[in-house]
Amino acid sequence: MFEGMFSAALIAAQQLFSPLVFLSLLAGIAMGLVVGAMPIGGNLPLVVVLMGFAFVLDPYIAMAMVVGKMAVNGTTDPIPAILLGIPGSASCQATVLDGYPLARQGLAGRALAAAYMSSLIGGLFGVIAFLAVIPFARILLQQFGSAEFFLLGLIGISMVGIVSSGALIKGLLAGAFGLGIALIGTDPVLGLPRATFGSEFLYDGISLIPMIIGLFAVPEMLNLVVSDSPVAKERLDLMLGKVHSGRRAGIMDALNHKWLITRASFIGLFVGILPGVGGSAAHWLAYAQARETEKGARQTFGKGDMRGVIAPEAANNSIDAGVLIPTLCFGIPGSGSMAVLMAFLILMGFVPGQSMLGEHLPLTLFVVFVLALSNIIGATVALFFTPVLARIGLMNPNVLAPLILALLSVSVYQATSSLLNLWVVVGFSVLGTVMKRCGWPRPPLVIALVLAESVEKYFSISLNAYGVGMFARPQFLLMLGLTVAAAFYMLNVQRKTRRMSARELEEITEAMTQATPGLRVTTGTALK
Amino acid sequence: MPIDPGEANRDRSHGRSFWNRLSPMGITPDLVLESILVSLVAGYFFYLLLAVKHLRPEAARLPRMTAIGGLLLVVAFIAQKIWRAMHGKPNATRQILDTGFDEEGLSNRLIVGRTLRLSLWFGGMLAAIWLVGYHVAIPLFVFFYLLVFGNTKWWLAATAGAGFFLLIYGLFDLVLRTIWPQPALLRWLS
Repeated sequence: MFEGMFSAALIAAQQLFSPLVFLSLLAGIAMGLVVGAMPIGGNLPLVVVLMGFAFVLDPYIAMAMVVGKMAVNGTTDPIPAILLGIPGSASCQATVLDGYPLARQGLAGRALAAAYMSSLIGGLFGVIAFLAVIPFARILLQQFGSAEFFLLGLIGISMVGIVSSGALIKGLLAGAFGLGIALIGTDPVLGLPRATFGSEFLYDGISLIPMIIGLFAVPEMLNLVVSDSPVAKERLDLMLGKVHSGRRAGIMDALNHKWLITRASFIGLFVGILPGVGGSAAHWLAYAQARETEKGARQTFGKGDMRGVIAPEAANNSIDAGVLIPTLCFGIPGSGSMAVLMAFLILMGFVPGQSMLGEHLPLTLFVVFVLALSNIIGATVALFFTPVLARIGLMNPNVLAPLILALLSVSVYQATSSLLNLWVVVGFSVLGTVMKRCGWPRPPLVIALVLAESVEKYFSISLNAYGVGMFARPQFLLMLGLTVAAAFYMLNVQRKTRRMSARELEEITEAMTQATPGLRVTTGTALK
Repeated sequence: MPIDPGEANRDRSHGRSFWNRLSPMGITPDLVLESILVSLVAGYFFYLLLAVKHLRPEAARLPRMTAIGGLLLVVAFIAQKIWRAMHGKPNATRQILDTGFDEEGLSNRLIVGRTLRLSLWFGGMLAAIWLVGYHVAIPLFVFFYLLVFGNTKWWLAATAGAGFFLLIYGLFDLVLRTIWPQPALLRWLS
């Protein structure tokens, strides 16, 4: 069970502390801290930018930057939520409810310190859980055959679509459409053109990088620019004046509620493992759990109770390890950003799943170590540099957008060496924007694009090896049964979360908006 | 021209606009957009069925399953839409996995204006890349966009543009030895 893990851990640690890798980790952390501090839509597509360089980057340098950024994104999320009442992402809405009132009481510094400490502990909790899961995942994967891997691929595509609750059919349609697009190219049997519209350019299929850039990056930049609302500088200055006091008290607040943090971290981890449920569900579940179980919370939550900041922030960071578990260990990306990460790994030559727990175990353990170190460094930096981060985070989107778009354009050419792929970017940008506008989830489409090749490969192998009997294999049926049960469970979790969050919001924000002018609680959700 | 942020809360879509005349019939811009999207998706599934007609069964299997499954989903989607419209049920707006546009409090005019602005500039940048190449198009795009819409001082915008030129030349030309396409303008002139 543990064979090879120790030597893999040594290799991973060695890589982590090599100069270039460590520098990229710091760069990723810096980007994550800044991006996390941006109010609404601040999830800049770093992975998408880096995808253009996937062929030339050392995998450890690339993963250090990407995972470092991802690990601390949630650490500075609470900055605009607490200081301005604007959630840094939809996984931060609950933090506004108690964080902003605390700031208005002059306790911004204390609330932020408590949030950072909770994030740190939650993140480390997730790391420990990830490490604990790896040996068992290795044993489990050894029992799988091609039929089970085919089913895993289908689960990856369909699960995310199924749990797009309120958009079940749209989610499945997006997945089917993605699968259809991924089949463009040459057939795997004879290598003849398949669904290429008669164009030679499509003989090799459509490259993943311009598709993902078009689907995600461009619409997100559009959202950033379109949604830009000027933030009152005076309000920010007033709040920033109070962030330095109360840090020690905030840290002690978090440490004094270690059981609350533990429960919230469990929630974040569990929600992260379930593909498709999403970060905002973890956030709200942790908040609601704290409200129901903590003494006197029902009366004090929403009025400036520190526990209302601690619980959701712990869940917010433990979910990062949670989402990586199915992605790296089983090749099932549970969200759009994990699908993009998977695409990135595949482009670098790593196939998530069995190999990541086998010959590439050092890279997997490296990711775990990066998560741990990033949480520690990120929380420490955030604690002392909140004013700087807050000001950078409120940068004019019309400054960021052209820089990112320029980088993306270069990245597309670098990866594909073809200007024609800029047309692909344009086409998929339009598609991504229309899907976003019409409420069609994009993650199922991306996941299908990433998984299509392995789905087709394992399907063929399974049919050749087992015939139709592949559907009757005990492992296959067991996995199918568990998947169906998990899907129902997840839909139930979502339904409860939706009802609960709507009820919580209604009860609390009515009182808050009367007492706190300028407070803005949105009902969007996060691409996490 | 930069859009006046003071317009954020003024909605100028009065009753005489094209969409306001259509909305009593239930025809909204979002419905038209979604119809186009569904047509595109359904059309592609039909194409997929036709495109694999002459391929061997092993090569045609998954595309056929995907296309047939997809078309069934399209039918289910349309049926759901009609049922909801007939029973007055609002469309579901929550998705856990993706965000819509965050346009709370913004007027339609502002949304359309900003969307068009970024789209046209982005499209212009891509056209400029084809015409004059990356080394000229990218720095110019960055410089002018920052200057006009980024409220940046000219020397900062120029520094950013120069920075991008150095990035392209330093990293891509010297380190990665990228081979760039010949710009169209150079091709015509030569």
